[in-house]
Amino acid sequence: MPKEVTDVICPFCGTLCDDLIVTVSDDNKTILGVKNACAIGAEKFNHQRMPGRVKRPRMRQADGSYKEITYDEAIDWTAKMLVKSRKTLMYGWASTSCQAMSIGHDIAEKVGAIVDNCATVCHGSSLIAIEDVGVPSCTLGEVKNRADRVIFWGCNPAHAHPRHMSRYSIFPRGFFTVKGHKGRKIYCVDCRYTDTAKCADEFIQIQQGFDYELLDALRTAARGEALPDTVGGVPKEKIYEIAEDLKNARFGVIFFGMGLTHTMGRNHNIDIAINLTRDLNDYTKFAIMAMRGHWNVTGSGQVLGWQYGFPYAVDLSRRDQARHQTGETTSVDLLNRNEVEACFYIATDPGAHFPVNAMISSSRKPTVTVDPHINCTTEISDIHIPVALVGVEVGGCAYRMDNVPIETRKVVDPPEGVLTDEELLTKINQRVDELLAQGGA
Amino acid sequence: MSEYIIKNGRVFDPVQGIKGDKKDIFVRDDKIVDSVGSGAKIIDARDKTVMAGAIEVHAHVAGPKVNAGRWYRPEDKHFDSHKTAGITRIEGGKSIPTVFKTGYEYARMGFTFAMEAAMPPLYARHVHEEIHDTPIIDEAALPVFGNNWFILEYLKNQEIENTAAYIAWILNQTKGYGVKVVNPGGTEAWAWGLNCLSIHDPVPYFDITPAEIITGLMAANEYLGLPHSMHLHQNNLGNPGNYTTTLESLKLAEGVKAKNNFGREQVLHSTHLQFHSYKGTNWGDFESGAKEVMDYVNRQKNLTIDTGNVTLDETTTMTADGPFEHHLHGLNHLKWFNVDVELETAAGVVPFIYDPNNAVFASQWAVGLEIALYANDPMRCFITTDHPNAGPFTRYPRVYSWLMSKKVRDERLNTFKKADKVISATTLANSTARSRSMSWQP
Amino acid sequence: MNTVTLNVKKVPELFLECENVNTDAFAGKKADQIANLGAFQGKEISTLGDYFSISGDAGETAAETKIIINGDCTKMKYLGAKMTAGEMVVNSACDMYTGSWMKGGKLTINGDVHSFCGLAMAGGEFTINGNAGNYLGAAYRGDWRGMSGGVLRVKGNAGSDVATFMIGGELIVEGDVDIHLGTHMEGGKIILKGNANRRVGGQLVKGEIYVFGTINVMMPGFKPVNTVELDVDGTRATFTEYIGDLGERHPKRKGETVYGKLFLKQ
Ligand code: SF4
Ligand SMILES: [Zn+2]
Repeated sequence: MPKEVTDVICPFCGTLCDDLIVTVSDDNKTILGVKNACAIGAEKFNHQRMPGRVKRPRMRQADGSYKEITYDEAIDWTAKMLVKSRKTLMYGWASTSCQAMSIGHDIAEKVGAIVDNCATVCHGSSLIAIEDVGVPSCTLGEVKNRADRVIFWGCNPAHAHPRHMSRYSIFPRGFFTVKGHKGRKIYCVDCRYTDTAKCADEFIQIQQGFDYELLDALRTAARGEALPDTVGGVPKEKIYEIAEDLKNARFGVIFFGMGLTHTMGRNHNIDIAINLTRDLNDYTKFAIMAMRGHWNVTGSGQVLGWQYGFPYAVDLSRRDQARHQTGETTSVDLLNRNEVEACFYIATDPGAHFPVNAMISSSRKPTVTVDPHINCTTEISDIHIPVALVGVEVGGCAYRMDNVPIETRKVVDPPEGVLTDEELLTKINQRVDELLAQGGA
Repeated sequence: MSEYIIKNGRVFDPVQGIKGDKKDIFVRDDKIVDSVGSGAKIIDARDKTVMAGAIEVHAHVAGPKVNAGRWYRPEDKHFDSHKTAGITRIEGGKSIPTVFKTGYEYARMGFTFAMEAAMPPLYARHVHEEIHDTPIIDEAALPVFGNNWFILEYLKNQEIENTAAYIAWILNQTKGYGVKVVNPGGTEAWAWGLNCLSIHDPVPYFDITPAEIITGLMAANEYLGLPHSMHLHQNNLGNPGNYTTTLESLKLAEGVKAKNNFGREQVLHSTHLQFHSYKGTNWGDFESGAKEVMDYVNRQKNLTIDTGNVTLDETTTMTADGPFEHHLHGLNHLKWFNVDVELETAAGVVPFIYDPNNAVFASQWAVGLEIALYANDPMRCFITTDHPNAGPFTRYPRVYSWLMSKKVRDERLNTFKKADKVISATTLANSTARSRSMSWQP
Repeated sequence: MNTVTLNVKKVPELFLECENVNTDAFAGKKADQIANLGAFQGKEISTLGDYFSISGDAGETAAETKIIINGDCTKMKYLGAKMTAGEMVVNSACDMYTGSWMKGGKLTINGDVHSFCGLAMAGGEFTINGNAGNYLGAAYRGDWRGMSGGVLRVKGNAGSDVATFMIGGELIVEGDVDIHLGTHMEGGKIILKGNANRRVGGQLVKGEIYVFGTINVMMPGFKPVNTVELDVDGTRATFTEYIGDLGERHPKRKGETVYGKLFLKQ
């Protein structure tokens, strides 16, 4: 008899939906169906039963083909690589649990590595902005219960966080928002008309690369100062009108995404959006939130935060101090500048996200990739170590985009003999200890 | 069975009146005993102090706002990340140390326990993840209740039993230790950008006042007979003239009796009292209200307090008093972090520089010391820095020396640029050394 | 003044952290002691002697010490960082953090420098006879206290984020700069002889920015208030005076609002 597992946490995007229902075969081995998830979330579960899944580590041969090796061989090779390299990049972490990260950091501290997560090519600029000017924010439930003005700026949740709008930001009826969508005014600011813009009451089309200027203009308008006739293609009358409407909100919130983080000025687009939010708190209540994309990337920032005091790009290479500098200790810069000697990738696919030059640099170094599936990165690695799917085949703690920690659920058993991230990292850690006790590799 | 002897140390125990005598302590299975067998392990404590592990009653050491303070202040670690030899981990952070540094630094000062003073239930898992990663010392956490929607609803209808049941459920779910109340009603008002500055300000929508929340939670706490009393961060923190709000809040405990069978007498713990003991109408005519507040506390036996001593450092303020942090940011314009937590609470974080050359900050330093010096019963007065709000806990040795030695205290006082102002706004200059007869008996 | 000369004998493979190459670290040391100071490449700890041939002893104090470095320093970080006095000349391009947190003395780089140079500089004279990268004279991450004193001069161009969170001192770029000049500035003086790309003075609170060239797009929060003739860095010219950033908060002094100022040559 197939059984239903309820309250399952989706292991895909930063929305971490916690209301999924998964149907599992009675031998606990196969997922038969997923309810409540959006298409991309459901896909993550469907992957579990895909044929051709790699179940043992693979090592690349001189001719480019891969041969199966044992976990012990893979662990030994990895530990030796880490102990030998003078400076190693340990990148990824976004699809694994906080417990696994913690073990990874222990290893990094011993072998002298940089721990970086995919904020480095995503909301890293948001983190820098918050480092510089702070951030007034809230949990997603606050948005649902109170928000009557919602601004999506340079983000497209309709595609990237499909259930965000229905669970929190546009449609739900909350305690003080009994009218749901009708009680909220939704703005979308973007340089193109997105599917999110279609859900908005007002779409503000902005000239590409003028977000900083438009945000400055909104702050200037909110203070009642003079403006040029148009800013970033938006007429000044419109800017004054919006500024006034935002001041009259009961509770407003700005959600932003790659449209701010990855366009000209990057972190400054965000720090000025944060400062607009701060200004609006002189009139009413306003919050701002980054649409964190990759599942538990937020958790990686939290664990690095409490262990070293920095949210990403943490340089432990000296082994006696932790440092952090975007532009220096960030993965892409390290690879482009050839500052690292080896790469260890886990629970993220840099091959799919990093600039080509960085990956070319990476491909010339000893590389180990830990991932449940074959992906772009495994194909340029010396070793690929398959592991159980976190949030599907093993539980663990993950953090939602608003930093709320959620314990994820195991719904099926991993394939016979496949290790979890935690088990694998623990074994690598033990092997590193042995090698260090022997005085090196 | 494990046995050991702590040999040759100088032993201190205020309860038994042992003041630095050279004594050997025998331990069997985590208990002090009269004698142990010959196979006991010997720990040489020559030239060392032997005392009970110190207890931190109120500090912000684990959880979402503490961690926000950590990661959004990389400059707090800059040139301050290091590792000592041996099996320790890298330590970093001047005002908000990482979990590793937190554990090590407390242990180095003889502490064995720290209470995290504000845990939002929704973020409890985060708090426990940090507690798990904190080495050596034990930690527990107080969930916040003073702005919780369920609590506000129950108390509006005077349903103490339901309040208690809900508290019990939250404590069980979040593995919390006691009932923390931060700016009751004021933080819920903050969700609309408002505040409750007096204990009679109505909370928007919920139709209840801070006074009713305090009274109700005290009753629920005693209904349950919890190990700790209700732990209160009062309304109107940090504002000149707030000592009247403080006295009004403390008076709510009059006639309330503790209900337990293990000897706890207090029903209300008033935290970081320094921040709540100001007279005057603005920062210009600001004066210390420590005497008035402590006179009341001394008379009222069912209260305990902690001090919240300002250490005159660059630090990071963080509290579930969201509107206060916004107010503070308006004063110093340094980066402001805020998070409102649905149904429960909010939190704010702002870096702060207590410049000793500033008369207000130097006076706050004096007020904190006065609070402790005016306390007649040291068993009801705990020294804290409300870490990291008034200063980092690593400054305890300094705070102790200011309290123990009038000479050290006066030296500091007289080197303030605005010493006259501090002397006229406070009574610290007239304080006697801490030698006046105090009953060390509980 | 005693002179210590360092000639690069081995170029580091990855990079080299040279926090011990400055007048303060050398002060009171003989050449062989200097050669024993640490140099770092990830977890590999070596000595300055492994990378440089070193001649000459340092003076008793930093102020009495001069350092001359020859050879390829393009992969060396932290050269001259935190120096408080004395003199240092590098006849090469240098990597990140050159002259950062400098408090005094004179530092001259005869070549280009990478990013984060002159970071939070507090005093002294720092001259770059080449181009500079991003974050020149800016604040360390998260800090609101960027360059606070001294004079930092770049003969060539500089990158983006020059003088972010600057609070004092003088920074002169003789060439052009990329985007975000003087963002979040709260004091001090920036002189740009060449052109700026965009976003000059964004979120400017206080301080002065002089631009001799052009600015691609002005920030909307700037308002022209005056025409003035001024002597700036030895050149007399007519400037349009703007106040801004009007979107930002500004302090009040004696009831008057104090604005940041931008002077654009007409
Ligand atoms: S919105 Fe995100 S978390 Fe929710 S089901 Fe879709 S992918 Fe999963
Ligand atoms: Zn506190």
